[in-house]
Order: sequence, then C-alpha cells, then structure tokens
Amino acid sequence: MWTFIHKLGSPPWFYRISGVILRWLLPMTVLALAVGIVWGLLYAPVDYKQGNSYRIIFIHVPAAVVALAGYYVMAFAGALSLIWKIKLADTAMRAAAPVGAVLTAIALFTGAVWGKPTWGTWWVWDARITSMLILLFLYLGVVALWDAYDNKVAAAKACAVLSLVGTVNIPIIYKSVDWWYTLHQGASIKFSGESAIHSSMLYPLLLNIVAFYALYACVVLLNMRAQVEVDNRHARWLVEQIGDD
Amino acid sequence: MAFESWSEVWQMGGHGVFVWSAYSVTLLAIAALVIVPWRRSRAEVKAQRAWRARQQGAASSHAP
Repeated sequence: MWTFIHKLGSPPWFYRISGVILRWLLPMTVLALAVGIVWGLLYAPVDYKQGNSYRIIFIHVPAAVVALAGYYVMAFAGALSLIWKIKLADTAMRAAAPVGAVLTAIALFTGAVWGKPTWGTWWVWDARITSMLILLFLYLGVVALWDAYDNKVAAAKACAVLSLVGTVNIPIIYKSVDWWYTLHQGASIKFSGESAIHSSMLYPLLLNIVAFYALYACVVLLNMRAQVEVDNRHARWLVEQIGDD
Repeated sequence: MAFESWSEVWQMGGHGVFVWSAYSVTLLAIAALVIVPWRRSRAEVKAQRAWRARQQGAASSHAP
C-alpha cells in the first residue's frame, strides 16, 4: 500500500503508466460515447410524456453524475496534497478542476435547454439547480485560486482547503431533490429497488454514464501529463520517454 | 430506429432546436476538453525534442 502511494507520487512512473492507459482508454471512450449518443438520439424510444426533448437526459445526467464524482476526486487529491505533500497530487487537483467546471456547465446548460420545453422556463432558483451553480463556482474558484498564487506550494494548500470545504455541497446536491420541493425531478435510477425508467432508456443512459467517467479519466490524465512535461522539462527520464519519434 | 425519416430526426417532434443545441454544445465542450491538453502536450514535447537535438548538435560540433 505504501509503496503503491510512493509509486503513484513518482512522475516517471505516472508518466509511463498513464501513457499506456490512454493508448487504450481514449479510443474505447470515443467508441463508447459515439455508440451511447447515437443510441440515445436515434434508437431509444420516444417518451410518451415529454416527447423527444427527454433525449437530453443521455448527456445531462452523465455530465452531472461525473461532475459530482469528479469533485470527490479533486478533494481527495487535495487531501493527499495536504497530508503527504505529494506534488503529483497538486497536479491532479489542478488538472481535475477545469474538467469538473466544464462538466458542471454542460449539466447546467443542457438542463436549461431541457427545462424550456418541459417546465416552460430556462432557469429556476430551486435547490438542485442552485446547488449545482455553487458547484460550478467552487470548481472555478479552485482554478482562479491556483492561478492567483505565484508560489505553487501556497497555491496547492489554499486550493486543497477550498476543495475539502466545498465537499459539503456534494451531499446537498444529491439530497436536494428529497429535502426540498424542487421543480427538478427526483432520481430515476436507483441502486436498490426498481428504477423509474424503462430498460430501453436505462441501458443507453448507463452506457453514457460509463463513457463520461472514462472521458473524465482520459482528460484528467491528459491534463496531468501536459503539466508533468512542463514541470520536468529536460529531465533525463522524460527525455528518454518522449524519445525522438 | 425511433424515427421514420431523417427529417423527423431533425425535427424531433418540434423539440429539434432544444435537443440539437444541447448535443452540439456538449460535443464541442468535450472536444475542447480533449484537444486543449493534447495540443499543449504536443507543443511541449516538440520543443523538448528540438532542444535535445540542438544539445546533441552542439556536443558533436565540439568533438575533435
């Protein structure tokens, strides 16, 4: 376990392994996204109540789910950074923030576009939507805070604290549809018991959730690698890895 | 397929503008997420390879 964490903190090890992972994961992600999106757009049956506008669910829910899970990833990296002062954890935290921000923005945008034909309004200040907006600001706050410091050790510390404090928002987002009367509907997929969604719509949705998770992993790794290359510029091991090809 | 024709796919029963704008913005954002770090990485690797080639060139020109 400890040797694993030490290895994880080693840039040469990370750089090599992430290169191997991406070579497989990136093409599979593109394939899964393509299949999931075409399935949801063209082959899933039309909803008898909402018509075709419901097809937005196949990108709205995956983006929102991964935006929430991605916050835990960022906060966990922040905790590693605070406790063990692992530089690669700082890199991971900084790499995760903009990805989470974009996914949150996608969830908010697709939600607004879905809300117009379904609820008759683009926006409403209900608990779910407002707490998602706060999530967006938390992500953007980490990005801005990091860039505000010239001393990156201090930047990492400040960002880690902000990330960790912000985690209180995540369960609030999850539970917002149960705790308050929201215009936003409750969860359709349930881990226990019958899901409130037919399998012909559930399967493409689950595929897209998996694809968005894979996409998240790919993009965070790509961001981290780009930063590791800059931080280890001209290091002997990096020169050997990037070679001449 | 859930539709009879391509024009029905485009129309989405009157919801076309909502569905297609949501999907196109999402796909553009996803493409940007992948392309931005990929390009940044490629430029950095290129610069480091060029630096290394210059170093080796300088080293060999000093050889007797």
